[in-house]
Order: sequence, then structure tokens, then C-alpha cells
Amino acid sequence: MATGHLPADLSGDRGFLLAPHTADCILEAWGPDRVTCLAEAVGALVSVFADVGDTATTTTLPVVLEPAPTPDLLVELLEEVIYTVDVFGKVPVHVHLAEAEDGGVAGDLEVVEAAEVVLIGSVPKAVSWHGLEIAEDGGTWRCRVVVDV
Amino acid sequence: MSPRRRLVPDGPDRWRIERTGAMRVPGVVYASQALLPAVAEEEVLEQVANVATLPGIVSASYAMPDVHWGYGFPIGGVAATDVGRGGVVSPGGVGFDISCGVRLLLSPLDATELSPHLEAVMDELDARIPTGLGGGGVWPLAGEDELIAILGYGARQAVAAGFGTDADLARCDIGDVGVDPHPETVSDRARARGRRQVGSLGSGNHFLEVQVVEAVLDELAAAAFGLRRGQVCVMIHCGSRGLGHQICSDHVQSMRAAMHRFGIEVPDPQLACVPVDSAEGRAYLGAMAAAANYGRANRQALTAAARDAFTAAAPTGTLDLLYDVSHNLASLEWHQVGHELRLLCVHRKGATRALAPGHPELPDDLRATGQPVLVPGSMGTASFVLVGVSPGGAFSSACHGAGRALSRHAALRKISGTALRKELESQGIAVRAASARGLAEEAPLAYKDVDEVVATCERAGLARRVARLRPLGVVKG
Repeated sequence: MATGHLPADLSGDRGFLLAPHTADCILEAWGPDRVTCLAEAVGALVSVFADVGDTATTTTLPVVLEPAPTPDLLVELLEEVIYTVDVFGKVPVHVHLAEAEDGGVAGDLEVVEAAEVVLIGSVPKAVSWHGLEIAEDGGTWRCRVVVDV
Repeated sequence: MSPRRRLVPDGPDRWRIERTGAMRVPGVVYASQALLPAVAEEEVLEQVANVATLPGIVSASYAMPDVHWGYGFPIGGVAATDVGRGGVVSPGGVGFDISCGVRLLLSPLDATELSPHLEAVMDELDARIPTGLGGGGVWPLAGEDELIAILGYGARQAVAAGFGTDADLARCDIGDVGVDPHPETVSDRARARGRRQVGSLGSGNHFLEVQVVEAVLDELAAAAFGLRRGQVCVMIHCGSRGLGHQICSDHVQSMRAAMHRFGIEVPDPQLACVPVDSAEGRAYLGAMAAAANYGRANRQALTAAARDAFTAAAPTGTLDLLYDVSHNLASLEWHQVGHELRLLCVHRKGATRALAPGHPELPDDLRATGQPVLVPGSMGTASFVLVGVSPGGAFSSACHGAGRALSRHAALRKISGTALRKELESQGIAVRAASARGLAEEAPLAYKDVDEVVATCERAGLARRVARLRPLGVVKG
């Protein structure tokens, strides 16, 4: 099972960064396998707007992504996080994902109440398909996605 | 050949990208020499050219002077498709924040009269205007029926619920999309996101500003609009919050799946589209019109909160609505194309409709003057009121703001939120912000010169300047 920890460790074989985009934000994430890359992308998304610090998590929310092309899984996962923030007011601090036997992805999000985190930037509200990439290259999975803030 | 090398002069502050490849029409970019370096970035021009490939597009793919890099469509793009000839509608051509827009409220107070009360007014606004993450909205809904009513009736429902007066509705662009709202087509997820956010600013570039009319540039139009030098105004910039974003996401996804049935291919998946006259096209437009109603109801609820803040802390709470515009919208409009009057689906993504004097859709008391076009600038600089002109251009469109020149990252590298707050306060601008970084991301240095943007609109015949507004206080989402 892959686990995304925030903030990312840029020195390791997994991590994320935020790249410039004129109006919005580009997330880039990587990891040794697909689910780690996806988990790091969630970390990137949260880092846009929240400093989660050492906040203790209190709740775990399940994530189940039905089998679909990997770009669709990435979009669905990030949209699920945005929905969780928007509707339930909860911010993911740790992400646990694993490949499901049916070809999908399953796991859970350890979340905290939005009031517990320090708001440090604009909150992403949607995931764009423009320039979206996710693929394995030389043993590392990498993704790039523009989010609307 | 790169789009930039294809950019050729085409009139005053107007440039043309000739058709190549799959482009069905040329691109037209409005930019002065001063704006050209920022406007003519490869990514921007590529997006203008990509929009020109959409089925049914007529005349040109237009870029306003504040255009900048978006996703799919450029932000500051205008594209019209011919509904009767297979023209498409693209949710990406409206944008995620459906009916993101601006309204301007006019106070009878002069800045000198407000000055002793400004800090108290800003504190009241800060307490009453929900910003940032969570916190709900100023309008807690009684239940699902009330949300459905908002999606169906927009600002009218807000006024019926006590958030404003009938006078507001006459200036609120009701019915401007030419499509009936269909709340039943709004997904459960979109409704869930919208349920607790009615009457909230959100974050990003959204704001509420207390402003003063610094200069009147067109006395006749200003008089018709009720604007005078020294007058206090309140500008509200926000949209349809999570609900609108979800509707866009839902329909981009469904159109990506449906496009192949219509034989449509697009150069960027965010340009996903289907014919306006199709089940998917009608479903999107019905949901989009419902989101537009939500956006206007949101701004209407915030208007009531602003009036309450002024009532509590200023000599008067009177704030009359000058106008409410949406700058992310598609609307069905009749336009002359060649020798024919055609029904077009006009996408304005980061562009404002700018109706010329005499247009039948204008309120009676504004018809002789033209439509107020509200252009929010960046914090600490200026905003503008323009007016639509005849014949206008780009299907009666004008700019929607200053337009970003720097990314949020670049802005953060140049100034901190704390430093920016001090800088703004040294200019006498009171600041209330949800987050320091969010403040810095929207620093004035991240934007183009709004004076040059609106002057370009005027020289290019898109709209005329009426008044320049300077901020006195900012509530930043």
C-alpha cells in the first residue's frame, strides 16, 4: 500500500512540486508506482492551500476508484479530495492507496477538520484536462495536472 | 509556424492570426504595443488558435486585451458558434466558475464622509463576508427546495428571501443567457457543493472592495450611471462557487465521452464540446443557466451583507446596484453574420458582454447610454466602469479585468503577503484577507496595467471608459 505524507520529501523517489501557471496551478508528482504517484498528487493538491503541520487526524474516509484509464483515475481522485474539502470541510493529511484486483484503486484518506489547518493559499476547485499527463517512465510514475484555484 | 510569428497587424490595437491547419476561422487579438509582449505568449496564442478549430465557429476566435493562459480556452477569449449550422457549446469555453462576475454598488457618501468610519466598515465587512475555506454563506438555506428555487430564479429568489429589493433586479442581467435554467439537470454532487456556500466570496481572485470614484472620464455616461467624482462604491467579484465548478467538470466529462458520436475532434481535451442542438448540449446549457442564477444569487446575498455592514458602521447603509455582469458565460444571441441574422452561442470566458446604446435587452433607464461594463483591476491599482459602444466588436464583448501577467508562484517570489499588506496600507487601503499567501498571489505586480487594458479596449472600439475607481479597502477571499 502506498502512503502519501505531507509535506513531500523532494529528495526521495517520491514527491511533488507546484509549477507556475499564469492563473492557476500546475501539480507535478512522482513515485515508484502508480498509486504512490496518485497519493503524492493528493499531497500536491492539499499543499496549494493548507499547511497541515502536525495536526492529528481523527477521521478516515474510504476511497474507491472504479477501473478506468489512469488519467481518469487521477482526475477522479483529485476531484474527490476537492469534494471532500468543499462539502464535508475535511482536509486530507495522509493518503493510503493500493491497486485493487479489478484494476481500480482503493484506499482511504486520513482527514482533519478544515478549521484545524492553516489556510495558506487559494483553495483548488476543479481539475482541468488541459495538458494532463500521467505515465510510467524509466521505473518512475510521473503526473502533471492543472487545477483551477 | 508558431502563432506568434503568424501575428499580423489588423487595425488599431488589433492583430490577426491567419488560418492554418484545422483552424476554421482566423484568430483576432486585441492588444496595444505595450501589452503585446504579455498577450503574445506562445501558450496564449496556441489556445486562441485551438479555439478557432471548434465546429460551427464564426468570424474569428477573439482574445481580449487582458487575455492570458487558461486551460483549453484562453482566459479573455470570445468564440461564437452558429447554432443552426452544427455550432457547438463547450463548457471549457465558459470556464469552471460559471457566471463568475462583478457588481458595483453606489453609495450616496463621498470618500471624505466615509473616511472616519472606514476602519469600522471594514471590520464589519470582514465579520459579515464569508471568505476562504469553509464558514458557510450569509444565506443558510432552509432545505433542498430553496436551493432549487435559487437555481431556477437566481437573484429574484434572493430578493424574495429578503436579500435586497426589486430595484436591484432591474440591474441584474436577468435572462441574459437566452436559455431557460434547468435545476433538475444539476447533479447531486454539484448541489451538495452549493448547499452551504450561498453568500460567500470563496478564494482565488475574488474580493469585495470599498472604492472611490477617482476620475470621471465620460460625464454624460457617468451621470446616467449615477457616478460622480469622490463617490464611495462597493465592488463585489465572485461566482457560482463549488456548484458551478462541479457542473463544468460533470459536463466536460460527459462531452468527452459523447464527442465521437458527433465526429468531433478537439486539439485539447478541455475544449470538449457537442452541438448546441443536441441532448448533451441542451443539458449543459440548462445546468449552466441554473449556475448563472446561483452566481447572481450569491452576489445578491453578499450585497445584502455589505448593506448591513454599512448600516452598522457608516452614516448610511444605502448602496444602490449599478449593474451586475457575468464574465464567464455562454449565451444564445442573435447577431449579424455577413448578410444574415444568425442565432449564435457566444462563449465569453473571462470577457464581458458590452451592449451598445439602444440594445433592447438594456433596462429602460440605461438604453440610451449603453451597458455598464465593470472591470475589476488588481488590488491597490484601479477598477473601471466602461460602457458598451456601437458597433462594438467581438460580438459585443470587452475585457473582464487587468489580466494576469505573472503566475501565482512568480507573485509569491516577488512579494510576501505581509509586505504587500503594509504596502497597501501605506497607500491608505485597508486590507482584510483570509490568508497572507492568497493575498500575495493577487498582488498588483502579478497583473497587467489595467489602465492600458481599458485604453486598448477603447482604441479598438470594444467599449469606452466612463470612470476610474480606486480602492479604499479590500476584503480578500
